[in-house]
Amino acid sequence: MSMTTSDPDTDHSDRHTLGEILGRALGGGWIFILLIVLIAIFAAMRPTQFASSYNLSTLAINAAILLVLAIGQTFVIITAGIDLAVGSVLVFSSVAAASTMLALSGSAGSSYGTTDASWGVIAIGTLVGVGTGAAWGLLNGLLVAFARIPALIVTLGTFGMSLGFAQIVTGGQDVRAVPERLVDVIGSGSVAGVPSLVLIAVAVAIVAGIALHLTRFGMRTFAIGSNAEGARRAGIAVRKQTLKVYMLAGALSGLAGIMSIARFATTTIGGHAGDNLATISAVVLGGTSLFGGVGTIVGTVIGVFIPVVLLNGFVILGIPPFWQTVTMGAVLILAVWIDQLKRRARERG
Amino acid sequence: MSGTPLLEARGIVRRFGHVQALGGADFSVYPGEICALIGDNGAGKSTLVRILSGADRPDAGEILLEGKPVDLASPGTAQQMGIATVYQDLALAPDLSPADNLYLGRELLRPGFLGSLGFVDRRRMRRNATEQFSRLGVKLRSPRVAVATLSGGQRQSVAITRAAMWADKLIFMDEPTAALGVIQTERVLNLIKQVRDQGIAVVLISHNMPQVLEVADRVEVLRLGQRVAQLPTLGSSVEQLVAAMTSGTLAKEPAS
Amino acid sequence: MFARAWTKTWIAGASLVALAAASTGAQAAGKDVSLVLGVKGSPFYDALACGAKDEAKKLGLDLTVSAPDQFAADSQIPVIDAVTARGPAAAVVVPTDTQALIRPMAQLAKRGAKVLTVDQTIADTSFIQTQIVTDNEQGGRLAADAMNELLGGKGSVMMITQPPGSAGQDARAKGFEEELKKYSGITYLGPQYQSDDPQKAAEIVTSALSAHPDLAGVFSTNDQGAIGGITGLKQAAATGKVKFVAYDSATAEVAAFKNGAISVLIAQNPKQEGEVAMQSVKRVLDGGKLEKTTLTEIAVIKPGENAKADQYEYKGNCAQ
Repeated sequence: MSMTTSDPDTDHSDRHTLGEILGRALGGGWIFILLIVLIAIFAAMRPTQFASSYNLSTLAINAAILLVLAIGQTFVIITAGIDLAVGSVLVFSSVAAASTMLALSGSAGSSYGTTDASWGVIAIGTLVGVGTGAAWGLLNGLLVAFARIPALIVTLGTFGMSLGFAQIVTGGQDVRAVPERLVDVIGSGSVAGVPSLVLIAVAVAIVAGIALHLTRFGMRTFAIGSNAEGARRAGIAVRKQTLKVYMLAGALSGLAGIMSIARFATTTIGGHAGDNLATISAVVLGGTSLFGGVGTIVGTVIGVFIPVVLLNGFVILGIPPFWQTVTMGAVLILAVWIDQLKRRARERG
Repeated sequence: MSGTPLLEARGIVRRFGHVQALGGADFSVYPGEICALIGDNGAGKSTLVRILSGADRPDAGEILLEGKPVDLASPGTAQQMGIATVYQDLALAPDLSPADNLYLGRELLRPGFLGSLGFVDRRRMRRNATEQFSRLGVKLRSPRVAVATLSGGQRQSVAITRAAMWADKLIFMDEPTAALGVIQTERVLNLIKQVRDQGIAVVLISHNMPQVLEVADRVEVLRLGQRVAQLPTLGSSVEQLVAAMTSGTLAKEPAS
Repeated sequence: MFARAWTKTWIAGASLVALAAASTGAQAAGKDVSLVLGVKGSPFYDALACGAKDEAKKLGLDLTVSAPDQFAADSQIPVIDAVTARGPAAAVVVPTDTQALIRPMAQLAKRGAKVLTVDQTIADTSFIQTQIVTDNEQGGRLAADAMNELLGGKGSVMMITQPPGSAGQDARAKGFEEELKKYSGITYLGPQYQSDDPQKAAEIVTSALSAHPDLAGVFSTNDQGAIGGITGLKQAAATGKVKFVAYDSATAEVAAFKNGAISVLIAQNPKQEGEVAMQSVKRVLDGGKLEKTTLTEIAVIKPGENAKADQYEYKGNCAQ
């Protein structure tokens, strides 16, 4: 093939290859090194505490829900969009699902604040959670793709609306009675030593990674983020694709809502306010560009773990809590700065 | 220039409010030729190309493809009829690879069950793309790197290769070398000739008269929304073309 | 590119090591105590942490303080989990949710830490050594008594509180409403809700004044309601005319108290809560037993008692 010739304007062929492959696989490479360095430092300083199997498994559990949200956010950001509503859609979906499951199962479970709802009821609740999440995603997608309102404004609006509706439905009080089976098996259970919540998150990440990198859906997600007008001229139904991506993010928020009920054994209306920014920073840390067209799921997985590991390590080391906030902010800026450098280098080349 | 034109436009009228962009314009392009469409600014070239590529509808007039009247309702319709357009502002996705760009919107799926799940056949797309590029003599360092890392000329080549891949009859190119340097321009012009040699007709819009004379087989001149001249490039001069564009006549004989 | 990335990550790593080395000494076995606050950057919790630090030093305990970004379970649980991994001898927690914190705190207890709660409580107390709380209902009653005294036994009174669901706020409201019934001259106009939103509280007060021009007194069950409420009074030029009784003694409330915009403060004593927490920890670690509930002080600060207001002001001004 004639593609690797010594043409005058193809002379930097050796500068890529290894870095290119690693970069693609790791969404930037250096952030993965940072994560390894962090883990190595914490493990070296507190081997029995940080590196204990108990701690590593709680690290994974703490990352699980955020990871499911961040995966949806990755798809949205690759289309050059943004979803500020992920956390409050999670709250809405968890309230809708928990209320449904409570209404379908009258009697109390054996432990405090639980019901003895059957798996059938839990399945219905899960469908309600994922369905309501997808419905909010549909609204976001319609407003972004068809009404042409900027995603930042649309999702800021639905961020407030979904949280507001969750508060209206419940009168501001958390739904405290949730199915015991859901809490025991999903929330704190494990399969072959791996926590169920982590298994769910891993399964979502694998399916999402395959969908993003190996399917037509994924290719078109990249295409509309890279050049929406070009994609439209190439015959891609850009608006429909955008709609699907926001719906996917909504459905994943709904799934995260079910995971949240299982984990906390209650809805958490007062929480998740910072989930949108947490997912956006995880996605960006993972090498996904806010300008769209570039991103990986592997990168997002690493991006989610950075703040979780930092928080955990700082608490174990006893570093004053504000330092964690400062460090996270600095790491995020560093990540975006490196993204910019890469872009500029590419534009020059 | 004998026989039935590949694409012919008759009496095309297009008004924007009180402004008449095209006032009964005629146009024809023949199979397997490079036809330059020239005219001064505001002569109606872009409007005519938009209409002929399905991006705009005329107020009056008719369009014939291989002698039969057609309705170019959308760019999609035109593409189905084998007509594509390479836009001045590139319609490539800069973050995707050249191979992915060739198949943008027309991805090849894996055979069997995986295909029905929407899995793309990257290997086949890459192999076909490589073949396509080498057939047209386009040299890229890798079909995998992002298009944004390529030079302007290479990007234009990818865009033209894509058009040639999906249009088997006719490609419109609006100022394909406007932003390119000398060497890159030369490469793109060679590519355009390669495309013609594959049997696809090319309509080239350009302001660069020497270039038009170098690469085109024939010239159609628009002035004030109407065709004022058709002439072969063989034996024509830049002065003649300029005169046709500005005065609408071929009165001045070449100084011989 | 890769070499540069390495350099950057090493710089980040090295500064982290320095930071860690600077902030922690050695962990003496059996004296390592963790305190998990409700949220970062709250003067109330900072004051609590100050009290705890001073007392821990006196008692020879090795105290580490952590806090989540938000007063919410999803934000606090990762912090609790990390404390569990750290494996302290005892942990004092301000639980941000009565239910969601049960599992992680039970895990903390199961892995060997003596667990205490302070300021807030959780629903399952089977594994909790003691709950250090103020009697919020009693605080509400004291507020009603002070209100009656201020108004000379008659007038219309309203209350600004949070929507039902927060145990502490609910108890304050309940105590206030019950005690107020004793005073036949007082007309109770009922509760109005705001959730930590001074703007909303200001609107509540101004519209209440339009609806009830004879409004004589307002009670707010927390500082945010008080700060908004007195702003509303100022806007309606009713400062001083309408008597304001406020729970807590945040800095802004103390200033308003000295200016006469707030007549009476019902103050908790977070410093003392921190001290009591450490004393309780010490007793448990020494093998002693504790009551299920340990009550801490509530102070009523009356007009003119500026020195007392200063003394009770929520301030995290201890040496770090």
